[in-house]
Amino acid sequence: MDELQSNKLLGNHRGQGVMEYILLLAVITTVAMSVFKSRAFKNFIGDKGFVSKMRDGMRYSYRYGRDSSTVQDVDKALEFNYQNNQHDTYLMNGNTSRFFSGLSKYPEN
Amino acid sequence: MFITQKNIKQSGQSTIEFIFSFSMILGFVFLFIRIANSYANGFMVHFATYMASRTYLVVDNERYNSPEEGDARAFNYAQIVFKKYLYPGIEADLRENNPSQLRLPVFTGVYADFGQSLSAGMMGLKEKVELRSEAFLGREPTRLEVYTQVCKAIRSITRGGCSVHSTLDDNGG
Repeated sequence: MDELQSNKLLGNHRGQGVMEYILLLAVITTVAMSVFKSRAFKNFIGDKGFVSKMRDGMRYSYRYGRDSSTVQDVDKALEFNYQNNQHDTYLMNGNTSRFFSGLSKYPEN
Repeated sequence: MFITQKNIKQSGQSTIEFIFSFSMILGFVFLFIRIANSYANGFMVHFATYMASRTYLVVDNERYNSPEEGDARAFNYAQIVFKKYLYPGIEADLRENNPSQLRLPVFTGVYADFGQSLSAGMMGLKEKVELRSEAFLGREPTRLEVYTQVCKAIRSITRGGCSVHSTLDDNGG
């Protein structure tokens, strides 16, 4: 024992803090990676997760000036391409609108 | 023992902790700056789209040979106005809802598609948020269309052409 303690490498505590730091970092990294790769976390930030819903909500409210929580199908509203009258700012309460225009096109002849 | 005063110094610990915490706080600060910038860009694009739609509404010239040519020129002017109002660095595409191609004329006007990043470094959303700004102020009938309609009305009454002067009179009958 005395021989070991007199050895220059084993007889002091140099590097102990670094070693503990490395071990702790490895443990924390392992825990973090397991959390990031877990199904629950992917559901949270994935295509249908909370972050995705927040992003679609921002897109919806920017385009229509309304809160997306009042709409059932946000994806459908965001894909609207002017082929019918189902524009969420144009329509109110189903099929009525506060905008108005001619019912038919102005005759060309 | 070999533990010397030099080995038990902890002067670097606070520096490392400061670097870690400072970088994290800096990340949050930049994230909030980024989000605020994105909001400002969003309002700016809304205003630029609105101004472009105003331009699209009224631009006309009697030189145009067809309503479609007038619409195309109006959209060119709308794009010029749109770019004037945008802050440099914002990439937005202005598109046109042409009255001759629409099923519902109420959507006549312009709209702009653009993406905004809501991230600063590793913080925030990875993908850009794709946004659309719409302004459907419509489009005034062109002079050519008005001329054509008036000419047809005169022809239907006088049975002549539009190349000669005609005076229309309502006799009250």
